[in-house]
Amino acid sequence: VSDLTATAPAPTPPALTDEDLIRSRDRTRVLAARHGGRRGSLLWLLIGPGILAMLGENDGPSMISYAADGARYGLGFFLPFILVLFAMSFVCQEMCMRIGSVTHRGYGELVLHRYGRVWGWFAAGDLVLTNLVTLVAEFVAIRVGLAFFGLGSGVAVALGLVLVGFTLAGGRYWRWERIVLGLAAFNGLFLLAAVFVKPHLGSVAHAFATWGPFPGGSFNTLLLLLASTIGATVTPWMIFFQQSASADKGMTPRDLPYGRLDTGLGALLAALFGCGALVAGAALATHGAGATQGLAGAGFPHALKVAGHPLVGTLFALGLIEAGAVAILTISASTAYAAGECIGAAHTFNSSFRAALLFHVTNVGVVAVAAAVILIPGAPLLSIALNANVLATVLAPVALVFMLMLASDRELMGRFVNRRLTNLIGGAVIAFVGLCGSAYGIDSFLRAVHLV
Amino acid sequence: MTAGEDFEIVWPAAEYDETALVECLEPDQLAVSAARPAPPAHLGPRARVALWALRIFVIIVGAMVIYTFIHQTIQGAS
Repeated sequence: VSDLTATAPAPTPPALTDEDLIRSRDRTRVLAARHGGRRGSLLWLLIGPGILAMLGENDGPSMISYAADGARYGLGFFLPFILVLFAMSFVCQEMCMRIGSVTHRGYGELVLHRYGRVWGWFAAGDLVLTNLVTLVAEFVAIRVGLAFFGLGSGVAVALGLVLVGFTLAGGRYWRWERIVLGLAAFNGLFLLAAVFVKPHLGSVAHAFATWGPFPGGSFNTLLLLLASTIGATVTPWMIFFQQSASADKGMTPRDLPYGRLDTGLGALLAALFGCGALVAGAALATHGAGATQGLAGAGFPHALKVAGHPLVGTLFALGLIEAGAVAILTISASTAYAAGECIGAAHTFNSSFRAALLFHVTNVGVVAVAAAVILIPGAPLLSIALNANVLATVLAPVALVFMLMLASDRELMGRFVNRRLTNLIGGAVIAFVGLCGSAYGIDSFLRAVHLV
Repeated sequence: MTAGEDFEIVWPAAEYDETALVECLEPDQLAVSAARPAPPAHLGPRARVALWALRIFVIIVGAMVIYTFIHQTIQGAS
């Protein structure tokens, strides 16, 4: 079949696994589309990891953070800030996609093998910790959305577990990806919510043009807002997920332009939908931030209904259920990839439950643990939900540093290694995320021990 | 391990012929190849210093953040 095999002596056929066969079937469709010059088909076949990483990060806590920014400060600084953050996120995620497509390996295993066990296990441990906290926050978001329709925690737990089980059932990456992509499309409900609050377009344009008004308040509050908004766009799980998913999907260096398109499209959609949540939340600014106080943002759907936007409240509630559900699927996948990569076990959706036992058990297990937490009576769910993004922000710089090192590793990346400009931009992103996260972490610690 | 090489497949391949199918994958993509560990990186002095700085950052800031997180969670519970 290959031109190469016509001249070379017949090699010993490699041992093929089910994973290889399933992935190669997906690749035959990509190669057929490329051979036939069908660009639309090629794009359809190759999109996925980038959009899922970006829309997965438009999760429940993130959308609540954006809406809280809007409710507290109206249309101002945070609207253009979200766009800039997703541009920063694109820079990072493009590197992950490139590393995964070129090396065909996940982030966890590359850090473990290239930089030693300590860093590999630290990266995985950091990921599991932040993912567990974030998954609890996702269930909280789903519960908030369901509460609008009079449904409780039990339904949220059942929904999360059924979704994870259903998407895993096919034993194929393609099936999992397409189901989650279908769900992720409903992240657009936040944009619809923004349209229905009928924002003053002049104010929106003014916010983008001037970055004002700038948020006031205490230094700690400002740092919290910055850190939680950054945590809504640049997080460790996205790095693990997109690199591993690109490898699992079977992407190769020839697919890089489409991988960039996928990541760029994901960033654009996520920024639009995130701005939508902020604009919808800003409808409450004129009613006073008190409308959402006490629930600390958790009561947005109800607050929007009370403020005279019942349809927007419904859309926001449905959006929160979708955002939480998609994030549960992508975040649990990133945890399962990390576990398999660091332990050295099979880590792919292209396998049966038995063939990749650890991967599948981890995938379901982290969701089950998070679900169990929200069923504990009196558990401090609100505190967990509000701190999830901040925790991710403070621990993100370590993951970002290794990502930059891997993408700059010529031995690993060959001619696909980072250019100097990419390294400069990547370094600036890491410095910014690190500075904001560390400043908030240190300031909060000093407050916790009553030193300031 | 090296960066993947581009290669062309003459289309159409028999979709369910395993030999043909496997040629749709790069050699590094096969499960047996991916299971081999990547070689350790050769780090220069600057990279070593940077990693030590990262270790110190992780220990100090990580401890602060985890303490604050637990403190706020306990406060939220009470």
